[in-house]
Amino acid sequence: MAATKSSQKTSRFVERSPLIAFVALVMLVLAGAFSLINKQTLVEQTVAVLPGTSASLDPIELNPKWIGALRVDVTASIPTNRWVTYEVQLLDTENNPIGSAVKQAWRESGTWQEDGESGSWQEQDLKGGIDIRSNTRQTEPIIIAISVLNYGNTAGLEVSEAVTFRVTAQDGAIDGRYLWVGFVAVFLFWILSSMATGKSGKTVAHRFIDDSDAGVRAVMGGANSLIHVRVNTTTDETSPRQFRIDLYIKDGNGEKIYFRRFPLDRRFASKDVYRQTLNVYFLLKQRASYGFYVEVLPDGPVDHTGLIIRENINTRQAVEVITIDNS
Amino acid sequence: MLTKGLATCALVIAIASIVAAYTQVSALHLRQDQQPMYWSRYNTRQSGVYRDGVWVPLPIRSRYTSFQGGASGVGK
Repeated sequence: MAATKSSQKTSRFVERSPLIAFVALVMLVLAGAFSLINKQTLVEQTVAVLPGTSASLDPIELNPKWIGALRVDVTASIPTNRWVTYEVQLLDTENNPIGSAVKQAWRESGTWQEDGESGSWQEQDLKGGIDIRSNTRQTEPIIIAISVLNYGNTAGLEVSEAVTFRVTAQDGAIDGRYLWVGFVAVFLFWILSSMATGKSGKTVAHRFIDDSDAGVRAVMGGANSLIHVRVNTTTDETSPRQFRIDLYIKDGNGEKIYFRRFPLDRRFASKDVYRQTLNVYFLLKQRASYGFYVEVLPDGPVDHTGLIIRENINTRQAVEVITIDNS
Repeated sequence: MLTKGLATCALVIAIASIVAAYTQVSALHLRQDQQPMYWSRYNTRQSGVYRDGVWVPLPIRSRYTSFQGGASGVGK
């Protein structure tokens, strides 16, 4: 009963799912990049508004569009330890309100002392904004107005000075917050699907011993079941630069059907400890009982050897697969 | 199977995020009484509602007189 053997690099068992998740991530990045070039600035100006009054800007055209919205951003400019409540109003050409939103803006500073250290702090929240989307099919003129509802200092006293606002209006603005949230979620799913690929399949046999040779036997194989043989060795400070690992496979009758000596470079893990891993992939055409045996040489420095056999696995990239047909 | 499920989720989330971002589902939709997806930007809250497509300012605006700034002595 002669076994035929061949070795070939193949992408047949590569799991495409992480690639799909990665494509999803790239789509989000491209969507984010396109959103930057899609918008156009219609208004960029500063207005001064006295408390209790409002200031209107020149009318702008609100165009119905498939994508994006009209974005109005307003930043108040106030001295420290002041607060201002302002309203961003949208008016039609007859000065009737068609939408409004209120922002409570503030800027505060002070000093702190803690454990003998001290310093100053300053915090602020001055920016407000609203995105507007038209639901009609026609272009309509709208007027942006800023109204100061209240202006005071942190002592609770009202201030009667004018507040300066920087107002920008952009057409075709996209809600990037969804892209950020999506990016974080998709990134996690990409990592998870990539990790899940590494854990695909089922462990059919494993052995961990405090010696240099290990063997296991189990029923495995089949024309479509990729078998992953993993050999982990932990060795001590007397490790040579390179180890050799002899790998044998025996069939159900105990006959040796495969042998190969693999070189394995020493890999530093921590002080006086080296850990090496050998990964070999097989396709055993006949599903049957097979025995796997490994021997690490030289055996003197070897503290532990682990032999893990998994089947029905998928890989992250193309791998060299040894096909054995012993029919 | 698990990896395929995770990848499908990733693709669905990506498409849903892009659609939501580009169609601006969370913007103020002019003259629509229902704004279920409205998501304020920079904490700029709507100060009115649409009733039959007409903007009705909320009475809550008069209460902003009590606003006394943001963080009180926090931070460094």
